[in-house]
Amino acid sequence: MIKYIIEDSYDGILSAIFDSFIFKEKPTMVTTFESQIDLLSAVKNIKITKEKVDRVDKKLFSILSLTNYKLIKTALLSGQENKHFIIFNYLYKIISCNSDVSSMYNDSDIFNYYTLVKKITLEAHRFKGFIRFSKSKNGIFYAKYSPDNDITSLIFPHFKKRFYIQPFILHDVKRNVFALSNKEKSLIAKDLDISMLGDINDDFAKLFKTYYNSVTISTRLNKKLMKNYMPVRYWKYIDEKNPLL
Amino acid sequence: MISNEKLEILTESAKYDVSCSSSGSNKKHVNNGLGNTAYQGICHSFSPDGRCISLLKIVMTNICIYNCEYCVNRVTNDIPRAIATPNEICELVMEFYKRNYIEGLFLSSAVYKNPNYTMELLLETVTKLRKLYGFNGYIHLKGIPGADNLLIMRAGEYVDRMSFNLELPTEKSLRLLAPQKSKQQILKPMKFITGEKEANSSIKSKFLPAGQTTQIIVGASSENDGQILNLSNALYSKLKLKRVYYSSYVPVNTNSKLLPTNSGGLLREHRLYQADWLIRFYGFTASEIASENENLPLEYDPKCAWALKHPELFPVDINTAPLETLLRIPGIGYKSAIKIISSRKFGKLDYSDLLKMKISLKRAIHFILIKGKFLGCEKQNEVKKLLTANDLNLNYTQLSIFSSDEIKNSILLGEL
Repeated sequence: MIKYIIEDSYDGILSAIFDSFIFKEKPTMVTTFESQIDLLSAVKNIKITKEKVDRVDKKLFSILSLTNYKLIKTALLSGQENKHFIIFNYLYKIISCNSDVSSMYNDSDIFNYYTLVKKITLEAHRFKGFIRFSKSKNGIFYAKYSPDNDITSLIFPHFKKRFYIQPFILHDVKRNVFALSNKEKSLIAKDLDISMLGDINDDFAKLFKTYYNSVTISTRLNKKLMKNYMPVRYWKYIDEKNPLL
Repeated sequence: MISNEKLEILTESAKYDVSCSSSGSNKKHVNNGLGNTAYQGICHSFSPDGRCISLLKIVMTNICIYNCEYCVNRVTNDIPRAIATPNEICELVMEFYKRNYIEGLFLSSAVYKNPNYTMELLLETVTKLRKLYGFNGYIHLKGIPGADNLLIMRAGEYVDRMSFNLELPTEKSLRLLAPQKSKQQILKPMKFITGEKEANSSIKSKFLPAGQTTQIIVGASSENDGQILNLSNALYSKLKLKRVYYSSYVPVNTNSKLLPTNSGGLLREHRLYQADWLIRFYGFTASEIASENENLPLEYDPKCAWALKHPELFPVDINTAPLETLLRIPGIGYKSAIKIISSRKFGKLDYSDLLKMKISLKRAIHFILIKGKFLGCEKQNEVKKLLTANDLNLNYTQLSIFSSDEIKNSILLGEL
């Protein structure tokens, strides 16, 4: 029983992979500093070095298809607590097989990783629809949301393309991540002061709620299905589901 | 800004159109215009009836000269009426779009004054929306049968998708329930659009990038499923339609002697959609699924029904069968088939492998061989019983994509 404690980053996981192969040991858990420490297992703190990271990164780049290589960064956006272990196991399998076995779904390490990535990309797709902007008095469109995964970098390009003529701010409330864009430039930042937006009171939110209620066919209610597609945990920032509006 | 009351009236009159898909078009943004379109479509919300809300679905007006028996807007109905101006619609679309409430507009209309007058109103609205308001998102326009071809063609240059509703599957039912419409009158513009699109296909055309669709009301008239599916088959192959929507008849007019008093039932609609998917994505033909004078069985899904009729074709070896054969196994959807194909390259799959990939075997187990072994039930009567038991608890929705329930959550409505 050996447990690896790593830094919460791509480099952290890659260094763990390196050590695991060098010391010929497979950890029974890979986790970050914040996780609870189990008293029964041996614990190793994994140090990041440039050499470890470079060697593993080069190896992965040579084995994986470009799409699958890039997907590792996407997987790291997961909000799941055990993501480090899932990604570690996937990468470990790739290197021990020395070939891109990413579609060997009958292997649990591969399948767990595939499921992890699926959840992130599905959520990103959903939020292209579920984001709700309100117009502030100075003409900035501002949207709050609280996704399970850190998807801001995944959905930002979509909104930049679509709304490039209007200034807007995406605000992940859970992580305090902001994505800002106007015609000239765009950036992602942490912990911004947005008090300059002032009170936002948007009449169109009410009008859309009217539309939402009228378009429902009341003789065909199927709320369970609605909740499957639009989970209740997202409703907080979806205007038409706001009971106060 | 349009008033709350007007928006309510115009939405109430539009909501029985089932289509809300925003897919099939892939427009990039243009200079100083607002918006683009996503090829796979995007759902922005889901209403309590389980449907996806992707577009602002609204009628220009619900003031109608026709008196179709099944329609909420028929002239003899005593309901509040309203008419919107093109500017009101344009402004609403722009403001909703900017707030990311919608993917675009689905504009339809009752027949106001006469077909040409109505079509001109619709054309004016979409032209303004594109030219004056700079809107570059998705527009689905409902065509008005009987309007001049020239108007239809010009509208086709501005919108992504156009549709004419067939409403009822046969001329006979139309004559009975919608005496002012005829099959010829509806099919004529549909054929015209298909012809136009084909004529424009050589040059990089902006004519209706997302093609055309139609809708058929099910359960208001006496046609059976076999007839309906045959019609769909023809619409897909001859008129190159992107989608046929089936709308289970909802009794909105209580005073009709010609119509059934009960709604057609969501289960029947669900079965039709399943059959429709088999035709479009699974390589089935309409006649394989249901013959001309036959209804789809309600107890089990159409693929199960087909497989039970063809015991000679089963069981199928999961490790060697090609994709098109895997797709014919009850309970195996497209995604499961792809998972099987891509993982069996690395070695033969056994029972536990299928479980690990979360492939639902409830139905499939009676139709497959795993490493030469058959693990299902031998007696067909028993199989029938087992298959009936667990299917009836499904959620019925007109747009549910692949019917296996374990992947249901990963699929968003209206994407195709």
